[in-house]
Amino acid sequence: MTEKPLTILAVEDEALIAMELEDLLQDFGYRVAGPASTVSAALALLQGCHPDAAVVDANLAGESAWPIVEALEKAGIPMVVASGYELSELPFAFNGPLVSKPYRARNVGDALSVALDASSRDRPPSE
Amino acid sequence: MHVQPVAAEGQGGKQALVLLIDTGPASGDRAPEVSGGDVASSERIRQLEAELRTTQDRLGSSRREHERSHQELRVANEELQSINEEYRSTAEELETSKEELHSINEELSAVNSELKDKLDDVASAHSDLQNLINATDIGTLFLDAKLRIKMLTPAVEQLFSVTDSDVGRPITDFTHKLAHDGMEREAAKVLRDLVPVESEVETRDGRWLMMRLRPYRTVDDKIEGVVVSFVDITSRRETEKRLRESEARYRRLFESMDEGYILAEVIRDHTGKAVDVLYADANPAAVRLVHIDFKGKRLSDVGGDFEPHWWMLPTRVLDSGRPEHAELFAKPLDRWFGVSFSKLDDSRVAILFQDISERKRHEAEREMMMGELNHRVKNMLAVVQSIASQTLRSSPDPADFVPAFQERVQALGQAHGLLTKDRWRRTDLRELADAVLGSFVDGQHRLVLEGPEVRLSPNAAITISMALHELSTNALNYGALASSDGTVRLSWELREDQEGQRLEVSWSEHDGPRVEAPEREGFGSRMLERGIAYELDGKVTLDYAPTGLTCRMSFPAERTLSHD
Repeated sequence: MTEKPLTILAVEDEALIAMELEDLLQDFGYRVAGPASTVSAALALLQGCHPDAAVVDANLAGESAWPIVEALEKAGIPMVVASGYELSELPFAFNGPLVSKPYRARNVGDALSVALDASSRDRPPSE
Repeated sequence: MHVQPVAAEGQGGKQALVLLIDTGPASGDRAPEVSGGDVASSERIRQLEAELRTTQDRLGSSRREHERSHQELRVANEELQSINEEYRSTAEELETSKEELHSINEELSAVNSELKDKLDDVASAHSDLQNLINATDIGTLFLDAKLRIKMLTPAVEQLFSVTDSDVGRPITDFTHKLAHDGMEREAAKVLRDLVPVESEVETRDGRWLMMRLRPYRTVDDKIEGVVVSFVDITSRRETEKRLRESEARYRRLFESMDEGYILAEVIRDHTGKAVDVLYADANPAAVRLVHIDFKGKRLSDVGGDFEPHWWMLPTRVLDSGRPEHAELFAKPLDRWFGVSFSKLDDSRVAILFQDISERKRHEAEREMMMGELNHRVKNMLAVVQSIASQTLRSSPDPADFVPAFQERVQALGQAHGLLTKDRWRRTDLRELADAVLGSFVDGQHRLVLEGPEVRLSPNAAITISMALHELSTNALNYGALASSDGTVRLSWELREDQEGQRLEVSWSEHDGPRVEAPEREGFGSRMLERGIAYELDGKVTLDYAPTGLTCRMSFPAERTLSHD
């Protein structure tokens, strides 16, 4: 890979799934920030870096991931929400790409591409 | 023969009185013999003259008598005349009287016909009365002041064994069928006080009669006895008894049932718009359920900001007449109620209700649980998926994949089994270690568990159970459990440091084969180091000492222990 890999923030409370998520993101050629298991850990990570996109679990050990989603939206970082909940059952309003658990690597990859593409269209061309 | 003129009084006609007088027997020839002899003739004349004087005397007295008689006749005539006049006036009086009599007679005949009409009326009234008496079921007995029977209706005949022929006999002479013996006393009391007496009396054959005694008052307001009437009230009493029993039954139900029952009256303003509800009555359960004594109060007086449906629904039921059931929330009470409204009459509604807060809470909980379960199952599948792919990544030989994967899934299953046992609230660490290690270690002496009672949170239970599983697998393949003499010691303690309480868990293997650090990081060590650190914010140190592996895990108690 010649160009600099994109950095993806991974937020997932379940260790085994986080490990899997980390592996599959790396398999897609992304660099992984995190994974973060809690809202505070994710927000702390965002203080120190500006990822290109994020994969966020909607529910972090009973805690809503809404503050993370809000911070990401504010920073203009595209994201994919992963959850065992249906879209209608999400603990917060979200209309971006949603990947439902259990997910396949390809689903996450596709959703990330959609989110990144949409975001790059919205952004003014940098070159 | 003597002829003489008579002057008749008052009569112009000429009359003459002719008198024929007997002068004795005639001698010889009656023819005038005067001429024959003188001596004989003078005798004869004297005789005649004497006779004439006698006759004249007689005539004179006769005339006087005649005059007297004439006088008397005149008097009589006058009397007759006056009598005649009297008679005439009497006749006139008689005529007047006759006319008067005639008019009196007419009046009498009119009065007579009136009397006849009245008699007819009385007869018809009497027959009406008789029919009324025969037709009525009300037994009536007319008694005089000495309690002798004056009249009775057929309904009394049986009761006192009397008939019409007993009229005039004292009622006390007859045996009656009443279970009540005070009738005479009461009759006397009525006669004395002139106040009616009323009582319910039972007959010997089990019927009930309403006995009323009242003074017999004639039309000119004299008291001439007592009227006793009997009305059969057996069926009324039975109905009353049934009603009372039914009322008592429903009253008991009303008092003892668990549901609240309220009689509510809808209060309207002058335009007819419902503005409030008055709780006229309520059973004990209603007051118990609401925790407020609202009986006799208006909703607006009860206080609190009750929702509009508490008066709108009763009004709607009252207007439509159709009963309604609803589950309503009362914010001031913070409770849910299942409420049935039904119309009683034009202004009142019956409200039957139950506190369904518990059920509502359960429903909400169940709904949440369903969502949570769905979420957890999906999460668990994601975990299994992750285990599968991680196991595959760390298994150089695909043949090793299947048993390794199966064991890990089984360990996960065991941990969940323990969690479910305690309803996903807490799991005892010792119990968890026993369950996980039990399948790897045969014989109690090879496994030592040491530590106080520690209740793990669900997340910690899963993570620690997976960690123990990986340690056991490793020990079975390469460590203390691979040899027959090796032992494993698992100890834990709670310790305070400056960051707060921590759970320190130590796994140490002894007397196993010589240990060498692995060349590459396998799933097990990755799971241990990453998983524990990641999920429980714990620290893991793996020491591959040649005498035996030691693994120290330290967790903040806050995230690891159950707070339930």
